[in-house]
Amino acid sequence: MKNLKIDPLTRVEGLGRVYLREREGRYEFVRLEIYEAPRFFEKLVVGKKPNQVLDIVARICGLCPVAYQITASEAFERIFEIKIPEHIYKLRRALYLGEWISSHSAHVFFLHLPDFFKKESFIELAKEKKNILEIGLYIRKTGNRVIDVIGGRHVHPVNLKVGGFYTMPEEKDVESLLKEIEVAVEKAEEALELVISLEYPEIELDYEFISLYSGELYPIVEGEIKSSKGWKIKKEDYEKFFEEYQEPHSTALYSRIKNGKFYLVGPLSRFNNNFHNLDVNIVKKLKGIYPIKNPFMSIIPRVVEILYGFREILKILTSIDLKQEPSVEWKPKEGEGLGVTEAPRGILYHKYTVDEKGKVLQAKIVPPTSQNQGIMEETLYHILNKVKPEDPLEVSEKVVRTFDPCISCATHFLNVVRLP
Amino acid sequence: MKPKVGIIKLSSCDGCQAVFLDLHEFWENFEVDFWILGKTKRTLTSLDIAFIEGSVSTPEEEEFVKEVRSKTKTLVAIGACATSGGIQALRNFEEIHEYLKIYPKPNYIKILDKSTPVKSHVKVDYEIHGCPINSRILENFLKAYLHNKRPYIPDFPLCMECKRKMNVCVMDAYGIPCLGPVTRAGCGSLCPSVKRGCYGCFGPFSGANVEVLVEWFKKLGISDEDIKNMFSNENSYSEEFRKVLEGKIEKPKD
Repeated sequence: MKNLKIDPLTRVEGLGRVYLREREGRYEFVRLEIYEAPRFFEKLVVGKKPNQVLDIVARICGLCPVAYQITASEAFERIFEIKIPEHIYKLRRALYLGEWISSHSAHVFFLHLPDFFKKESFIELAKEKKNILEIGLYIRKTGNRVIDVIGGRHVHPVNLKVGGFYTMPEEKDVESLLKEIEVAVEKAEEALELVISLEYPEIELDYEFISLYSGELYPIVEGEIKSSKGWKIKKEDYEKFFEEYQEPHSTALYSRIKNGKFYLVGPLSRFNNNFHNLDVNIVKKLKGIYPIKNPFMSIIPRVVEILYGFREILKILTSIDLKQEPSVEWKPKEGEGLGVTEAPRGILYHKYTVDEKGKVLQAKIVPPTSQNQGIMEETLYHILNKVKPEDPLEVSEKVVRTFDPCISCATHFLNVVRLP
Repeated sequence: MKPKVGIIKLSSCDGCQAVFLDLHEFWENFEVDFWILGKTKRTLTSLDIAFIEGSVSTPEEEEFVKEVRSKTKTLVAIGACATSGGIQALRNFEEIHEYLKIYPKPNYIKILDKSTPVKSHVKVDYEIHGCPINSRILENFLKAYLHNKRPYIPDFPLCMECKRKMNVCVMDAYGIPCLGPVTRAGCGSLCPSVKRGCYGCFGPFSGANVEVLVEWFKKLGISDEDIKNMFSNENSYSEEFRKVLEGKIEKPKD
């Protein structure tokens, strides 16, 4: 019997370890341990009013704050029955896509790509393939600019509130942004060619892909929750179908479908469940490799979403009238409401109960990475036993990296609802 | 020779260290030796300069921060977590078991009673504030370090940034409560620029007069509870803001 560990996992967001136990050539035990300190967000928001909650939940993740802010907004807007006008909805969509681009490009170019070139870091990769990193830097900078222009700041935006924005973006900023995006589209096209041409280990897994699905738009907030196994539920029924539980080695809660199965959320699931709602030329280019069931290839959907994102932001920003009201008025009332959106790493669930002044009494937040915790372990188990790699630790770390886990996100979520 | 640098993460959101990703001048002019987010190296060896993101909130972090100090010539705390304990320091104002009982199984969790800044545990050479830190301030800091000059870190109220930007004062003109008069400049007065009050994510500057501002808020008709909530932000555990949450604000003398 041999016990092995990777401690800490590198080139992933946040702090985690992997433990493996091998007996007579078989891996009988695989565990992903999340040891990052909990930050108790579900408790920190209690007693706070909705707009302050938006500023607090942003701090859960420095790479996807917009996802937290917009999901919380959706929940509060559901409670207060606020109707969001078309232009605010669209501007939020552009902002959210900016975050997909910013977050995906950080993972693709800085954390993940070095693995395909056998480099220990993007800094080493840049020494040999400077042009790749330049593409990455430009894409990420432009994604960040989208968030700066619409959200006021790309890490922890300041311009979002329940009902819309504090101020509409300035016309001159949007104009210069559009020019940058036009260049970024070309860079994203180059990046897509690059990732299609990479060599991938041949492996397929029978995942249950879970994502939002609208049948029309590639989803961010739109539609219902869909499984690739052929079922669909309303956002409101999330907790009827999914459950969380705690394991001793993790400061994050695990998630599973109530039938006991683990599932996958994130770009791979969105891509497979919504492939035909992508641009025609993307569909044409990728129909040969769709659906993607190889976790190593998840880098492709990330780049697809970067390209799709830029084009969609262009569409939105060229058609929007910036002279409209930045937000709608609302009044608080007592109630409970939820928000479900597609964060860069997959489905993000928020639920709030508020009093008549809108102050939070109770909160529940389920981030994408804690939902993927189980399936990451299952994937490791499967690959290690099937492939029997020479260097199991190196392969395991690479496998975990393909999921782009955001451990700082995952760790904070502790279920207040379970109070005795 | 390029200086050997480490970027270290404690309890945090990764937002401050993400700023380093976008500064290619940084990774071209420093030898990045230790950076869990960016590199595969797992062991900490001696460093010329270390940037620490995050607050100290577990026994392991307390040990680790001491190890970093012992192996580093210049230690820089970056961001609200590392300089004042961060948003998670809001828990410092209640008993820790109040927080732990929200776990189904609280005995699995090993955590310190309080979330505290790096300077509570080891000597810190510089602090760069903000939630997140501002990339221009960081860039200037790195340049100053490379040229062996004293770095420039703003230590004056946000109001001065607003004036320079010719912003209309949101408190004067619209009666929107704003923490600008007690908050350190550096973000570019982002919130007043979108017509909302500053919520203090850069923390207090040295000598901020919190007492007078609280009086002013009261005159605007803001309730004690709402005033407390305004200071319940990323820097709530800083010495100046803490007074408001602990109800230790004395009426200013005329």
